[in-house]
Amino acid sequence: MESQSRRIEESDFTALRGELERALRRICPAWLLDRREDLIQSALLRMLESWRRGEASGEKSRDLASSYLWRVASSALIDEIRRLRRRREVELDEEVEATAFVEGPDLAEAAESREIGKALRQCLQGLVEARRLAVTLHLQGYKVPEAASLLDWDAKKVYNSVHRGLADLRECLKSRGIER
Amino acid sequence: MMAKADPDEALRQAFVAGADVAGGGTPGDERDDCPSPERLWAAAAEELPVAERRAIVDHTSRCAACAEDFRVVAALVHQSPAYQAAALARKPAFDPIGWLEGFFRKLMAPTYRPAWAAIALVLVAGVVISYQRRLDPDEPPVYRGAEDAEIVSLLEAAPRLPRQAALLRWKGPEGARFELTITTAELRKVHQALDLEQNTYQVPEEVLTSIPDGSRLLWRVEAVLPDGRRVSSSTFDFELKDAQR
Repeated sequence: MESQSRRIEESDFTALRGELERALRRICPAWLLDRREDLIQSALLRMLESWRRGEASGEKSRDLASSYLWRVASSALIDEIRRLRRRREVELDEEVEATAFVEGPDLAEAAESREIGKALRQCLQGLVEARRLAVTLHLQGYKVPEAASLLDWDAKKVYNSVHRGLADLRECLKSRGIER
Repeated sequence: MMAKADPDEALRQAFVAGADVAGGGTPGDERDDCPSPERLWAAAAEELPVAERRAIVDHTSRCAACAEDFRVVAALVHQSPAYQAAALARKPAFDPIGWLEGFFRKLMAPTYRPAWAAIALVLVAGVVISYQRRLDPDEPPVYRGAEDAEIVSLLEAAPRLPRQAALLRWKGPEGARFELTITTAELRKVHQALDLEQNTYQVPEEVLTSIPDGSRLLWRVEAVLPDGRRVSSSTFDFELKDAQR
């Protein structure tokens, strides 16, 4: 039984690792690309610990395909991302202090990008709720059927809200001198 | 001027800008009510009530960091086996409204107008040609004998035919070819003639050599009409006699 448990662990975690890699390859934030491998390892370790705890306590439902373990992987990833994000904020503050009187293209570009992002989010708050929700999901890559399911709307409402919301958003950005 | 391959891509990039710092570019504003990773999962997996899901989406419209986290979580949710199985069971495999909307949106694009004009021309030509063919006088005629396909014997009642000149005659549908079968009264096949164009047939003498005088023979005709249908006659008979009698 012990050897059988070890066999399951190796092959199925290999498959799971592949699934996590595929997911992260699609949506890994740009500033985390060089940390992708660390993120996957953190998630897998947390999943393995959780699975072993379940085995030890005699829980029978914790097979590797269960959504529980995927949930564990997701939490591990987000925790790690947030930890890195907090560390980055400190690093950036230090960098800004150190370079307060020196202009650099990367720093200026990043600052401008953040300002545009801030303006975009402020414009989003000016939209009516339905358009704001639909556009927010659209900008996060949600397709119409997925957004409809999440928001519990029909597809037509989502499509119309995205279409009109994007028009309102661009109008708002244009009024602030931003063309996107 | 930015490339316009995907007009929304620029907005997406702007949307995620600032997500690499906690608070999403507005330090301190959103940190207290940022949802936990577990709540993000529950929202993306649609386990929370709708109102709470919408509230989390609304939060991500203000907080770039949580928007980024939600995107990561949603990707994992959608990749998980449980979600994919539930999605297959819950939703139709094909979203007809979405497909139709996308299809017609593409069709109405100016790029396709020349193609539409060509299709319209082909359709008009097709209608004209089809109408012309309906008036074509060279259409093959409908067979007119179909209603009157009965086959009748033209021999006298209770015929007696000599074996040297046993001529069988009948009346059948016009334009048909005939198949003749002759048997003894015991239904033993004596002779068969196929693909006859005439409605008469002289039975070869050698076929009747072994048949005793005075024997009663049965004969039947089957007509093959021009349209391929077959019509069978009833069974006729004649008596075989010696010519010298």
